[in-house]
Amino acid sequence: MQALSKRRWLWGLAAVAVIVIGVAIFQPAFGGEQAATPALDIVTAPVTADSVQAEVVAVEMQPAETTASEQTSGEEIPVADTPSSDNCIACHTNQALLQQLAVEPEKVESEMAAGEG
Amino acid sequence: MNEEFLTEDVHSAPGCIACHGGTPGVIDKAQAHTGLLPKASANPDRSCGGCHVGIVEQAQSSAHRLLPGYLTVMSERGADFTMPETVKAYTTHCTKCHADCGDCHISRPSALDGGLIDGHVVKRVASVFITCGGCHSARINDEYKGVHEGIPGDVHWEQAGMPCTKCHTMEEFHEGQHGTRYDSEPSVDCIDCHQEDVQLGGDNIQHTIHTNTVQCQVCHAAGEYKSCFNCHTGKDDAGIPYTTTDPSVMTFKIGRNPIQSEARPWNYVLLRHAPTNPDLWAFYGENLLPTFDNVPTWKATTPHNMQKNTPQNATCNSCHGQEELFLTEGDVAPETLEANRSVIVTRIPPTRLEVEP
Repeated sequence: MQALSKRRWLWGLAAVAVIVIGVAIFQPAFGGEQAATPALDIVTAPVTADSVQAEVVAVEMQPAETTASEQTSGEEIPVADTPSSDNCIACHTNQALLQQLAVEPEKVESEMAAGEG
Repeated sequence: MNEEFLTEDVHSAPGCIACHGGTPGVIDKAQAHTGLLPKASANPDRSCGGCHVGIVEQAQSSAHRLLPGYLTVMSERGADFTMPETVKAYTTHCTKCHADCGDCHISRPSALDGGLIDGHVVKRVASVFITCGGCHSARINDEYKGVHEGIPGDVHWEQAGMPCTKCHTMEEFHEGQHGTRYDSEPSVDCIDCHQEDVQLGGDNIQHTIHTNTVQCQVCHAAGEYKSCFNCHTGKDDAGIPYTTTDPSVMTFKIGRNPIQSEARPWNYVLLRHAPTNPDLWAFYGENLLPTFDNVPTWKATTPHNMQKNTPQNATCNSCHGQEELFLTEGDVAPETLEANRSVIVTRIPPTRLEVEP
């Protein structure tokens, strides 16, 4: 009988320990600071134009108290997690490549146009 | 885009795709441009409005974006914007000057064929020469800088180098507006800075006599300024829209004030002819401006070529009795005579006994 009551006490202690560990592990996901923000999750599914568009539209940058341009350079600026633009930058900083790829739109102007404005 | 934009401009931080769309992770041009919005600020809610919430909301109905002045004047001339012909004429020819955020802060305005000002660096204050002067060129910029031969530029530019933004405020550029720019209070007034000079009963007797009856520019515009006298619109045989105008003419005309109010109490103002005529939209339909005569074609104007001493303020009789300075019936084209009745001067202010200025 005494051994049985001692075992009950041990089982109770074990149950409390399990609950405490569980809370410690899962608590942030229920409203903690590091909770995932669904809108900012980058989807790992195959990239399609539609999915990118949907993703970009879903990304809403948080309004800052001061405008971004007014912030001092030392402050860390909150930025939404958007898809990488490395491919854009690779071409749009390469003057030679840009000149090679650029298509000058044909300027359509009527021969009847005359005068100023 | 240039290095400075990527390394020092906070606007590069969210990445290109945040504002412009497009497809990440691919290098092929066509694929990368799928879903691209080249002119991101055409959709300001998604781009600029993500951070600059208040100002973008404000600018949604700004004069630079919606051109309410055109709509107001054309409506007063009888334009019915429920008629397809009217909408076609208006949207084909009159809305090119529309400007959104990027047209001022990132590139030259689209109406001038665009082009980044400084490698995509976002200018907090728009370039007064490229942006303001780009659109407001012939009628403001050239006057201000003294481009017109033989006519001095504006003293505020020549002696103080003041950019547009010294007088015209951010609110004025961005705020929503109803009617024309003259339907609201003046955003800037000469008297804001020159209080002592123009106070009634002050040292200058001419100011005591004229300040409430004559617009400042009547005496202080340095000389003639540009007027355009007509505009014809249409499409050629290939369906390409065109406009034709006669060459502009340098004019200086004092007329009756068509916008008299508590804020603009003067009897006399300077007038400039607007590029308009009763058959402006005749190509698109008959009688699309049935009440054209409701609004003068000679409109109140504020030439930006101010000087302290001008030919017309040298003596009293440099202006008084000088019929050629005033808009009279003979200056007005017969087809616009009725439209301009209210601004035509019928009695030229008579010559005076000279007093020391």
